[in-house]
Amino acid sequence: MTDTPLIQLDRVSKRFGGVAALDQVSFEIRRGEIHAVVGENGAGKSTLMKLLAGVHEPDDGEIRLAGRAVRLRNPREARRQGISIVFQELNLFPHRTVAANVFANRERMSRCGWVNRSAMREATRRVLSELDARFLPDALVGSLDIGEKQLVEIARTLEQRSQLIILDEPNSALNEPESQRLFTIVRGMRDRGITIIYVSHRLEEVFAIADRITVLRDGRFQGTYATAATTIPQIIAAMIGRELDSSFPQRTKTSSPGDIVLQVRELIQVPRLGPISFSARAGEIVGFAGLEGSGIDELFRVLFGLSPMTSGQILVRGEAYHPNSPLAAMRGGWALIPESRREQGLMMDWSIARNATLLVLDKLLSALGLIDKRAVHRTTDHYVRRLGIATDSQNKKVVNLSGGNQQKVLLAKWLAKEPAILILNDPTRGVDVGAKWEIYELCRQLATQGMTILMTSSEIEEILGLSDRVFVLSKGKVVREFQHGEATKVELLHAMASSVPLDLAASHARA
Amino acid sequence: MTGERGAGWHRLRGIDEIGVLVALLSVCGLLWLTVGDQFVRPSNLLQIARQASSYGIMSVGMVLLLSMGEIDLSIGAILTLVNIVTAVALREGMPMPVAVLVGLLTGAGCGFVNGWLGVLLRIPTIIVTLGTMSVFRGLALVLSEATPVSNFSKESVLFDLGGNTLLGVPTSVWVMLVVALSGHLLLQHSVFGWRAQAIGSNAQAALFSGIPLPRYRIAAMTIMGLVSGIAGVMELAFLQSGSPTTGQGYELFVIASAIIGGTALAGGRGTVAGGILGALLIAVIRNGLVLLEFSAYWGTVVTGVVIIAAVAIGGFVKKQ
Repeated sequence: MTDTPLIQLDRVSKRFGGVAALDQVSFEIRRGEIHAVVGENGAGKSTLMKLLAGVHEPDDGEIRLAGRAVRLRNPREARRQGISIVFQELNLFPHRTVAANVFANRERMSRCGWVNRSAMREATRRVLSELDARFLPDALVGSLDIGEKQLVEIARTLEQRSQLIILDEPNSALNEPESQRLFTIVRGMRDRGITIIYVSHRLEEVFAIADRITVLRDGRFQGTYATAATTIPQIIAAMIGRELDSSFPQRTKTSSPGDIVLQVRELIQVPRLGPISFSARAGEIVGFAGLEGSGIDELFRVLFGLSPMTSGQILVRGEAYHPNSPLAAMRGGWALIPESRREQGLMMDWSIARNATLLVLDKLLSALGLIDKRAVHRTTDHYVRRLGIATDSQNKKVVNLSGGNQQKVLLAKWLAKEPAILILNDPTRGVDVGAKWEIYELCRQLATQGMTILMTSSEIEEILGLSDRVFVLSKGKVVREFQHGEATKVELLHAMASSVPLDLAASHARA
Repeated sequence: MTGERGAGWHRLRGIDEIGVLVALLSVCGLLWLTVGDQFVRPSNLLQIARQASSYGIMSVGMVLLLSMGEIDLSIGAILTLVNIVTAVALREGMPMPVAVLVGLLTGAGCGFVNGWLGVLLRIPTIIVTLGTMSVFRGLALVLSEATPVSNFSKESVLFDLGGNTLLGVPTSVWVMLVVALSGHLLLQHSVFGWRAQAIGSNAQAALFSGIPLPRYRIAAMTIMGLVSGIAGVMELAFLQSGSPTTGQGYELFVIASAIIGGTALAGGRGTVAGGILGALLIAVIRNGLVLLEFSAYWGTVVTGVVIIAAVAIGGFVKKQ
C-alpha cells in the first residue's frame, strides 16, 4: 500500500469567529514529495499548517495520515505521529547551545536521571553532519546567523525522526546562497524518504524546489499542479483569481534626470564598509545588491544614523550631512523602512492610526498642545486610502493585518513624514503578490514625484525590476554598477559573488 | 432586550479599567456586608481616601514608567527622603514654599539620578533603583538621625489646608486628582506620552523611529521622582512631622496598583484611571483588614494574597 498518500485532507474546514479561514479543503500529499502550498496572505496556508501541526483542530472534515483518520489534538500528538513544523518566526533559545536547542524538552537522561550532555552532543553532531552544517553542537544559537539558526530547527525535526516536515516561509529571511543551500538540504531529506510541505510566497523558489504545488485562495482549495506541467503566471492567476499583466510597473521616461540629491564620498565604517562613493538624483531609484555581509545593511544603518561612520563625507543637496542619530536623519529628510517590520518597524499591538501618525504627532496638535485625535484620524484616513490598506477600521491592531497591509502601514508611517530620501530594506518581505505589485507602483510613483529611493531586496528580480541603477556591493565595496536593463539575473548574481572592487577591476582591465 | 444588554456589556468590557472596577466594587460590597456601618461611616471613608491618595499620586508615575517598559523600586525611599528633607528645611527656618520646593526638587533630582545612571551605565532601571532605594532611604536616616523631625512651625497653609480637608474631602485627594488629570493628559493626549508608550510597545522600532530613548527614559524617571516627592510632602502635611519610617514598602503597593489597574508589566499599555482605582482597592483592602481585626502580621500576609487575587480576577473578567 505504498500508493496511499501520506496525508489526505477531506473537506477540512476551520472558522475563527465568523470568518472561515479554511472552507472544505481537500487534497493529498504523497509520500516522499516536496509539496508547496502557496497563496496570498489570508488564503489559509498558515491555518492549514497549524491544523497539521496540532496547533488547532479542524471544525469539520477529516485528516488522514497514511489512510487512517487522525485527531491531532496538540503539537505533541502531531509530533508523535511524525509531523514537525519549522515556523517562519524561529522558536529557538538564543542563550543555549545548539545541542540544547535540538533536544529542548526532549532531553536525554543518563541512568542516574541527570541530563546526558555527551549523548545529546553526539546525536546533534550526527544530524548536523547530515545537514552539512559548519557549526558545532556547543555553539550558542544566538551567535549563529539566520540561515544557520534555521538549520538548527531542521536538525531538531530530523532528530525527531519526522516523516513529514512543514517548512513555513523558510526563505523569507535567507539570501540567495543560503536559499540554495536550504534547497540542497530539502532535496536530500526528500531523497531519504521524508515528505516536505513547503509554504512560501516566492514562486521562483517554489518552482525550483517543489514537485507539486497546491494553491489556496480565500480559504478554498484552487488546485494542485505538477510543477513540470505549469507556469508561474498560471499559479499567480490561481492565487489572485486574475491575470497579472507584468511583474514590475513601467518606468516613465523622464525627459531630464533630476538634480543630484545625495553624494556619498569615501564613506568608511570600520570594519565592514567602504570606502564607498556614489551619488543619487531626485526621482531615481538606486538598487543595492549583495550577499549577506556585503555591507548594504551597514551602509543603510550609517546613512540613517543607526551606526556611526568612521570617516568620509555625505552631502545632501550639496550640504554636509552628519547622521549622528535616527532623529538627525529624520530631520535631514531621511526615512528608513527596516527589513523586519515586526521587530524594527511597527508597534504590533497598536492600532493602524497610532502607528501611521507616530512620527508626525507634533503636527497634529490642538491649540492646547494636546494631540488632536480627529487630525490623527484624518491623516490616517488619507494614507489608508492612498496606499489601499485593506481594513474595516483604522483602530484595528496591526498585528491582525496581513503582511502586505502591515507593510503598507509601515510605509504610511514614513511617507507621512514626507521624506526626500527613502531607504527601503527588503520592502516586500513576507508580502503577498498583489500587495507587492502595489508597493512597486508606489515606489515608481514616489520617484516620479521626485523622491530619491535607495533600496535592496532579498529578491534579486525585485532589485533588477525596480531600480534605475544597481550597485553591486561585496565586502563593503562597490564592485559593479549596472544601468537599468543592462544586467540579467545571472550576471548580477555573478557580480554579487565576486569580490573584486570596481576601480581595481577597471585598472586590471587597463593593464 | 438581551441583545442590548449584550452590547452594553461588550462595551463595558472594552474599558481597560473594568477588571479593577469589578474587583473594587466586590471588595467594598463584601466589607459592607461583613463590617457594615463601621466601613461606610464617613470618617472611615475619608481615612481610606487619604491613604489611597499617597499610592494614587505615585501610581500615576508608575503607570507612565511601566507603559514605557521601565520600573522604579526606589519610590518609597524617595517619598521618605523628600518627607525628611522638607521637614529639615522647615526646621532650619526656610519659608514654607521654599522648603516645599526644595523637597520637590529633591524628589525630581532622585528620579533624574535613577534615569541618568541607567542610561550612563546601561543598566536596567530595576537594578539601578534596587540600589538607589537603599541609598535614598539611608540618606533619609542620616538626615533625620533616625528620629521624627517635628520641631518646626505648623502655622502655614501647608498644614492648615494640606493636612486637612477641602470641601469635606482630604486635600491630598484633590492633589491626587490634579496629578492624575495631568498624568492622563500627558500619557494619552501628548506627543511625549504616545512616544513613551511606543518605547514600551517596541523599543527597537521606537529607536528606528528616531525617538531618543535615553532622553525619554530620564524624563520619565524624573517625573516618577517628582510625583513621589509630591506624595512625600502631602504625608508631611498630614503627619505634621517628618518620619524616617513612612513610605516603607510603598513601592510594592504602587506597582501593584498600576498592575491591578490593567497596566502591562511588559509595557505598551496602561491607564492612569486604572492606577488610581488600583490604589483605592489596595487602600480599601488594608483598611478592611484592620476593621476585620486581623493582626497586623496576618494583615500583611492577607494583603499580598488579595493583591494576587485581584489581578487574577481582573484578568478573568476582561477575558470573559
